[in-house]
Amino acid sequence: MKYSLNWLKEHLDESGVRLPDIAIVTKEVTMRAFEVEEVEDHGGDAIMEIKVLPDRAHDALSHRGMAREMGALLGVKRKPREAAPVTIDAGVPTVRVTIEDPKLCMRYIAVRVDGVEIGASPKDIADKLSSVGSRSINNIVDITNFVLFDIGQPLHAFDADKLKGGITIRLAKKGETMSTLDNKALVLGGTELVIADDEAVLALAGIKGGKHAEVTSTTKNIIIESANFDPTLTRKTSQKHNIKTDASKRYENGITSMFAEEACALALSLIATHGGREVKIGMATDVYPTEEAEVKVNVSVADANKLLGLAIKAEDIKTVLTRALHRFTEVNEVFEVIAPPERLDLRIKEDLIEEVGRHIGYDKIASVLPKLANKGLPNKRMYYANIVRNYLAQEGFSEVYTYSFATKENGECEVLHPVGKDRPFVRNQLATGLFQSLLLNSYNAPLIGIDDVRIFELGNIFPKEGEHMVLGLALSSSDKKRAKLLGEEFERISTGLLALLDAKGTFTQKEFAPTGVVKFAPVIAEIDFDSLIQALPEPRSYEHLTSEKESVRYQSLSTYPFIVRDIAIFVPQEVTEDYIETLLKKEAGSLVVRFSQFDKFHKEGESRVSYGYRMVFQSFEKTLTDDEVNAVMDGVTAKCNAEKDWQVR
Amino acid sequence: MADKENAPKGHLHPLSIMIGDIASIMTDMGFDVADGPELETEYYNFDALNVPKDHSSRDMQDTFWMKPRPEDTERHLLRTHTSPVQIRYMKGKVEKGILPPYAMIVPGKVFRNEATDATHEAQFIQIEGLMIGSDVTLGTLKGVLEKFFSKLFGTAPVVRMRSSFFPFTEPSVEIDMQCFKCSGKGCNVCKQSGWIEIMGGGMVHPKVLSECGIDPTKYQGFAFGGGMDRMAMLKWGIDDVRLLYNGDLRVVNQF
Repeated sequence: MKYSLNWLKEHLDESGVRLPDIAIVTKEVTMRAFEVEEVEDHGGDAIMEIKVLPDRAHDALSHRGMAREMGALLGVKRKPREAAPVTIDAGVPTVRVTIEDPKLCMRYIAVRVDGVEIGASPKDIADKLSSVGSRSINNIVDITNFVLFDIGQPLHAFDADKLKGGITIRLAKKGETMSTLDNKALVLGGTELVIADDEAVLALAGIKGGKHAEVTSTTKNIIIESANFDPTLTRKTSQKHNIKTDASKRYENGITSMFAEEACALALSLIATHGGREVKIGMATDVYPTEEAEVKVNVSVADANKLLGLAIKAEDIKTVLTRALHRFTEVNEVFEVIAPPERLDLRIKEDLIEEVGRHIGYDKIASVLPKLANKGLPNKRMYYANIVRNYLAQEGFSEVYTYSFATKENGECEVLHPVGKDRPFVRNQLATGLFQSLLLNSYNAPLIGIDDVRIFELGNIFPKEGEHMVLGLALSSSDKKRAKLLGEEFERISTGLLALLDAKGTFTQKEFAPTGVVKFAPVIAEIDFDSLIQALPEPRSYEHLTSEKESVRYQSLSTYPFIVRDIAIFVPQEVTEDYIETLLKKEAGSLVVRFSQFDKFHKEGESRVSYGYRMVFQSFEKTLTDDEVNAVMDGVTAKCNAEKDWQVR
Repeated sequence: MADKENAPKGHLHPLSIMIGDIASIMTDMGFDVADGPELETEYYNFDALNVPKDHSSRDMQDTFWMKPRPEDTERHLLRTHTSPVQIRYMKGKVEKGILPPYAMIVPGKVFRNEATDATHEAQFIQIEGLMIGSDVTLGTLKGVLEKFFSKLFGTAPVVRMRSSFFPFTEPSVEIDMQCFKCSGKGCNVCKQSGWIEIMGGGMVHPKVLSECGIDPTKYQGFAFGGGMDRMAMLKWGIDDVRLLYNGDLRVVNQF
């Protein structure tokens, strides 16, 4: 929520301790309460975007609530807002209010105000609303919005003359309709809580008002609603009809019913001043079936220190509780605490310990290292998986992670609302993902600097009979001769793996036809890893991964295609490879992303050596054309031929 | 095929390397490494962790719910965090009659139903930690994480805790590590703040302990959890999380 610093200060009494500089406020609030995400200068005011935690939405989604928190954290006194009392006019009819289910509507206050003049808002209120990003509408609506952002209590105003009879808070009837203030036609399902008169639905309770009793420029008499509704039902209804409002946000988190009365008093006081010259305020109807009970929570100094790892004293807890406006008594270092009514987050001892801990500051907590008797052990899967990883890496396999989501053809368990419509299942094999990876890596092989692709994955699959871990291997070659030997190679590696683990099992080979860059049939095989290791002994120590590198500096990938060029040259035998490579690289320039020697041949008795180099060109800025790369290669060729006794073939 | 001596050595996935590093650091400190199913029940993922029945995190937009099957007796989902393993681990110990101290970590794949981009994936790896004993405090959490981050990132052990909220911990804290690149001076990695938001944690909620059959008046402990993909991206400067899951050796072979 957006908070105006000037508005917050209206709730603070700075006659003693003053609120510190905004930078300090930001830091202290961020560390000890809520993250201040942004502070923006707004013509002499500072607008703070503060991310209120979910358990504090009860009390802190208002300027008063936030000012109370800031005051408590920073030791600044709070200042109650003076709402001038209003004169009740006995001539104004009272509103008849019926709550059908007090579990769904805990409190409902309705007051009729006659003789209002709908017009522009007082400048102060309109400015305040605009500073926190709310649009000014008219004096009455703005006053209700002002109270919402000031105290955290949503209010609603109805046109009293459009209302037939009294107000009933009830569940909607199935098929009942209403049209919202923003002209959205709703057909109600029967689960929604509504505000209705004797004939029609006036509002979706706690969420949105309706057209039926809308306050317009010609409205003369109004009814102000200040109520409290069930959080869960508010949230469900708001979701069902996809309507989210400042009011629904507060109700669905739950607020105290105590707010309703003071919010109503503040609104009436403002309406008396700004609602028109002839305003007459009626007697409030306050239906409040069960008064909210006070919650007492006990916490001892020892409890707090034991959980937090601090050594605070009763005096410290007293200071926190006093500053945060808790009522409490203390006997022998045990506090009995009654939190302010809006603090619905404080219900058990641990809640209060958090309250104390964050106020004192988690930075005061000293680090402690535990003394655990033994070294920890990995689970069986991890232990044997690491052995497999080490072995396969040694055999030239690289490890891939592929997606758990799959198409219908490769899955048996379906997700209700998939992230991609094309992959609504979870995979029942690794092979499809591995084949995709073979395709991708075969295409990029020159860029990666590999001839053949060897990959593996250890991952969970989800067939109907149950989730388990699978090891999948995949091999492909771009060379016909080597491709023919893949089966043999796989046999050797898989046999070696089983022998290393001293386990029995059979890999299942999956057939994939050659496609595109995978020109020859690959070998892809899987084995149920959980079954494979089932009979193996439990680990007795942690098996380290052996192939970790010390300091990797990751190079970002270009999204543009690459071009491969080979160059073959005869060079006098006394010329070093270092010299040749430096010359080639310098001449080829920075577009070369991979450089490798693929051939070196020295014929007995010859004075020259034949070298073959491969260069892969790629730009981070654009797609390179053949012409551009040819021009570079022409330069390289010319440079080589200019060297004494060199010859590009 | 080429001779074995000349055959290129393969590469491990950066996330496996990071899991390996973390497991080394934590087993040295005495933490076991546990795991659990990725396809979970609502009970383990939410109920047992004190997540309110109507909590918004259970909504369709955050959770991958599974299509109900005729044989199901409860709702299934792809786990949204590794915390259900805490429950399985503690219940398992209690069933075997083993009392705390418990100390364990869980690296594991989790799922969130959200739109993917360079920093968001529908699947990612989380690291979870749990320690229960008679005198485990927020100070122990701080000590363990300082060691964890300093070893993992090779930096000075500086960690700070900020106020936060999770249903399964009370008190709850947000955990920041001092930026490993600039040591807190401010740089592009930490957006000039000197700190990197890296984990959530806190003291295990008494309801969670009770649910597992552990007496919260006798035992207490901490839990922490964070996204490992993000740690890997920060540590190595990987700029797109999606590159970690598409089987791309242009990435893997750099490690």
